[in-house]
This record gives sequence, structure tokens and C-alpha cells, in this order.
Amino acid sequence: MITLEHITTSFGHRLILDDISLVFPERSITAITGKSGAGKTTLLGIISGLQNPDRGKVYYLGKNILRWGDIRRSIYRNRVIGFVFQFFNLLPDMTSYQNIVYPARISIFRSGNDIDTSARELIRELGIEEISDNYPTTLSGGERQRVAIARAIINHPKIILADEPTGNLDDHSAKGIISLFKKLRDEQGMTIIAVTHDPRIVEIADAQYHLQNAKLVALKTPRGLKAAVKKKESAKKMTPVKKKTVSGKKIKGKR
Amino acid sequence: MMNKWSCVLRLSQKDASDLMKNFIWNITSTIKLSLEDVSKNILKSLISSFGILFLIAFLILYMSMRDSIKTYVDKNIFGTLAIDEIKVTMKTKKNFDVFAQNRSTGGIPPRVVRAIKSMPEVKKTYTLVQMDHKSVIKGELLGQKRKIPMPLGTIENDFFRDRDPKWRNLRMTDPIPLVAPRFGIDMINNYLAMNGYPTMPAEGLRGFPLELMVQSTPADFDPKKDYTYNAIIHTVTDDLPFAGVIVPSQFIRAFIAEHGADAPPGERPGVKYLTMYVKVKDIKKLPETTEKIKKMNVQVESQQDVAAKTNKALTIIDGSSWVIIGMFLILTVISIFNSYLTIVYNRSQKFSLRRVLGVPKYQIILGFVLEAAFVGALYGLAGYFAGNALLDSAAEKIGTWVPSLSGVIVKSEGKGVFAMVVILSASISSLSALIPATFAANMNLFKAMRK
Repeated sequence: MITLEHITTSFGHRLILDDISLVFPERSITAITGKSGAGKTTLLGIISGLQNPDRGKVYYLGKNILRWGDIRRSIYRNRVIGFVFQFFNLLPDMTSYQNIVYPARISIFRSGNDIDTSARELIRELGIEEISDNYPTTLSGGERQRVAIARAIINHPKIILADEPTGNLDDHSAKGIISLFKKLRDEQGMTIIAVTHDPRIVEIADAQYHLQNAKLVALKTPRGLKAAVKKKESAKKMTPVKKKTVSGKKIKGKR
Repeated sequence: MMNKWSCVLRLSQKDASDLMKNFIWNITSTIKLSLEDVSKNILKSLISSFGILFLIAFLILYMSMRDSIKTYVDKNIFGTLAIDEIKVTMKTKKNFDVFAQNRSTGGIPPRVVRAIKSMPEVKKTYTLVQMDHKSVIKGELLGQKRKIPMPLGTIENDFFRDRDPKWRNLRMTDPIPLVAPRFGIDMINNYLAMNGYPTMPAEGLRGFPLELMVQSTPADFDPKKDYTYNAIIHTVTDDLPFAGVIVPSQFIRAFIAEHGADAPPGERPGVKYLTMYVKVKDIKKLPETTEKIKKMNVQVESQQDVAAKTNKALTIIDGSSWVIIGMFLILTVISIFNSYLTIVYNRSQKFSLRRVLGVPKYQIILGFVLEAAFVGALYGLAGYFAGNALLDSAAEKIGTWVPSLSGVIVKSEGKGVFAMVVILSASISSLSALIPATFAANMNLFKAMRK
């Protein structure tokens, strides 16, 4: 689904990501852990096309998104990616419903009735009917995160980028959100990439990577990853070169 | 293209067919979102752009005043002089200015008139001569007889060559053709209007019968002798600096020859040379001819002379006005820039979120710029009316502030300027907001999102 190749980025003289290569398979949950400031959020920014790395490539369905212009990247974010944040980032001057439909309203591929139907369905599925007319300031953390998730999936994205999704939730709410992620992966086939410190998310994740000293260490590798990489390599028909992941395992890549 | 975009668009056939419908809905939705944004922040934006009001108001004031002054100068000074003409009058008091009233009392000495006429550079002269004899115009208007004392003057009839198609008829005939001053017609029209009659155009007065009474002896001479002649209005002029009627020169010569001896030689009224219009053979020699005549101790004005003074005056007006406008502009731009920068940081979460959720940079910039343009246009509108209100006030007081401009009729610049100032104001506002808008579109989104 998403493949990173040789991603290197730095802020000033500080190296944040050093030659990161990684594959996020379809229908999977990937947990990325690491200390604060390790570069986890930067990685999400690069995957979403909001930040450019100093070097490297980000492939979505075989296309390098870093070569795209701003409009195409915007459509990519709107159509392909859903975002979930630690602090929810709901717009305070909009009701829950308005927040949920916001990404659909700015999409040129959605229209009024279609948006309303999707939104009502989502609201029902996530059990937030009663709060749909409430403003975010009147909601609990769990309710806000449910609204944020509804907003993230209103456009039926393929990928969810979650930045500490349970970091600001109580135990009960966190469990609810984690089970929702599982449901999204299993029932809707979404790829979820979560930057997290929460062991419960790591537990349900198909893969876990740890960012340390700008390098990515694979702590749990998803099944089928090798197959996915090979498939991508043969599609590109390039000369194979040996590449090294930070986990010390060798995988085949192409340049 | 579909291939290039297909992986992000994920279009089905139905999607494609609905695309246009959705696109229109999206535009409407985007405009609605922008308007929601504008309505929530309009107060801040209005406060931030307040300086534009002053800028536009002053601009209106300046442009209208400048135009009015220029029109006044053109009409009152340039309008009476041809490009190759020099106007010669008796020297007036020191610091006489082209904008001031003519305060000369005596005439040009005859020797100076003769000297000018004999100059080799001179092609033609027209001499405005005033007769010292007391004269009265009698006429009947609305059944009432009126007598108005009015001096008699004369000038070569071809002076009117370019001003009156029937100039050749301005010669000694019975009745005597008169060229009346414009203000005389205004007086008649005022009288007609007071009595509920429609006013008459100047052309309508051509042929209006009058009686001309001229006294051959000095005003207090006893026994006084006067002579009455039939006269008609030939034309009307405001091209001559003379508050009397112009008669053919043959009439004045004949009258003096015939009745000059009514008074003893020492007390006989004569004539005086009020103004000379001198046409030069070679326009390139106008400056040096002007200088030569100036040395004859007379007041000289040429278009070049007037233009120099006018330009000097307008340069001062322009210079000071542009300095003020420039200061307003800089302050306004800085103020809008700063305010919008603050707004950008205050709304950073919203902008960042919009970017994350798929709004392209250009839409963020466009939304911001359009908001600024809308506010700017509002201020342009307000500035236009404020400027005109100031203009009305200035129109009443300009004569008090600058006495020499008391004749200036201050007029607003009109609808053309209205559109211009609204566009200008909107442009200044949106350009000032452009850089903050670019900041907004390029903010470190994930940093902002984690606030």
C-alpha cells in the first residue's frame, strides 16, 4: 500500500530520519514507537505528503507521491488518508456533525446528499448520534476521539495515520478506540499507521517499528511483508541492490 | 490524465458522471465555508484594515482637488491665451501671482504699446482699449426700462476670429454691434429667473436691442453732453479681462473725433490701453520675446509663464499629497500585514487542519486574499464616501485657506473613480494579506496540529 525508500530528513544539523526504508502492507496495523522528538510525527508528515524529506521516496500504489504537486497531494490526503490526532483537532466553532463532514465538504468528489448519508451512517455505527449536534468543548475525550475518527473515515480512506490516538484518553475510551481500529482493519480493510506509546495498540499491531537515533528498528514484522516488497520490485523491473533495514535484516530493494 | 490521477482519484464511471455536479456543489460549499470563515473573523479583519479608509478618503480628496484646481487654471488662464500669445498688462504690486485677482489700475503707456507693436518678433497685436468717457447701456426687459452704467472698450475685431464665427460683422454699423461681458448675460438671466421666466442662452441674445448713451464731457463737467445710439448685442465673451462692453474701434475713433472737443483740451476724457495680446512669429522665440517685453516694466504672461507657475504649484500639491498618501499606504500595508499575520497564527490550527484534510495551498491563499479583498472593497466604498464628505467641507473652505483659489469649484471625481478606488483598496488589502496568507499555507502543519 505504502512504501518508504531511503527516507532521510534533518532539521538543521540534527538528523531526524536516516535512510528509512519500510513497507506498510494493505489491511494492517503498524505501530511506530519511539521517544518524544524521535521523528515519529515527521514520518507521518512525510507519508501524508505534507513534508518533504531531504532524500528518499514514498510510494503509494507504485507512484512516488513526492513527485506530485500540491493539488494532487491534497487530493491524495483528502481521498486516501484519514488523520487521527492525540488532541483530536476538532474545530471548536463547528458541531460534531459539521466536523465529521468537513473533509467531505472540501472534496470535489462528494456532494451534499451523499455526504449526509455517509455521515449519518458513520454516526450511527460509532454510536455518537446523541452528540452529533454538540460542540467539541462539551464532549468527553472519548467522544471527541470518536468524532475525530468519524471525520477521518468519512471519505472512505485506504490509510489511517494516527498520531498518539489514545494518548489523551482514559482507559475505557482508549479500549473503545483500539477496538474501532481493529474493526476498520478487519472489516473495511484499512491500513492503519499509528505513532504510539500505548502497548495495547502495539499488541494488536501487525508490525511494530521503533525509532531510535534516526533509525528504524523492526520489533515485529508483518506477515507477507517480504512478498509485498518482492512484488513491488518485480513491477519496477530495476536492478536489485542489497539494502539494509535498521533491524539488521536484509531485504531486497531496487533503485 | 486519468491514468496519472487514477490512484488518488479512484474514480468509478458513476463518480466521473457525477463529477461535474459534485464540482459545482463543492464550489458552493467552498464559498460557503469561506463566507463562514469571513463572517466569524470579519470584525478582526475590519479593525486590521481600518487604515485603508483614511488612505482612500485622502486619495479622493487629493484627486478631486487637483482636478478642480487644474480645471480652474485651464479655464481661467490657459483658456484665454493661445500657445503663441503673450498677455501684457500694466505692472501690478509686488508678489502678484497668476492665481490672484488683477489689481492694476493704470494703463499700459502708449510708448510701450508702440514699442511692442514695432518689435520684429511680433506677428500681430490685439490691444484692449478702454474709453474714459462715461457710458450707460439702456434696455427694456419684461416691460421695464433699465439703465446700467458700463464702460466702453474696443479691440481689433479679428481678435474674435477663432471665438465667434460672425466676427466680421463686428464693425461700425447702425445699430452698433456690442460684445457683452458674460457676467452681464448672467445678470439678465438672474433677473429673468427671479421673475419666473426661463433663462436665455448667450446665442439667444444675439440681436437683442439696446441703447448706448455716451457722455462726451468728464463725469462732473457742466454742462454735460451725452449722445445716444442704437445698439444690438452681437455676441458674449468672457475671454477679455474687461467688465464693460466692447464696441467696434471705428465707433470710438469717430466719437472722439466728433465730440472730443465738447470739453476743454485739459479735461477731455481719453483712452487707456488695458491689455495687449501679442502673437509671436516664431513660437520658439516666445521665451526671449517674453523676456524682452518684461524689461519694458509691464506685467507679462504667456502660456509658458503660466504653465511654469501652475506646474510649480501643482508640483507642490502633488509632492505633499503623495508624501501623505505614501505614508498612509506604508502604515496601512504594515498594519494589515501585521494584523493578518496575527490572524494567521490565531487561526493556525484551522489552516493546518484544512491542509491536512486536503485543501490545497492555493485555496488557503485564495480564501485569505479574497477575505482581505472583501474587507478592502468595503473600506474603499466607505473611503469614497468619507472622501467626498471631506471634499464638500473643503469646497466651502478652500477660499478661506487659499484666497487665490476662491474661484475654484471643487467637484467630485465621479463614478469612474468610485470603481477605481474600490478596486485599488481591495488590491492593497489583498496584496498586504498575501504574504501572511502564504505563511498560512506553508505552516509546519504537524507542529501546529500537535499544539
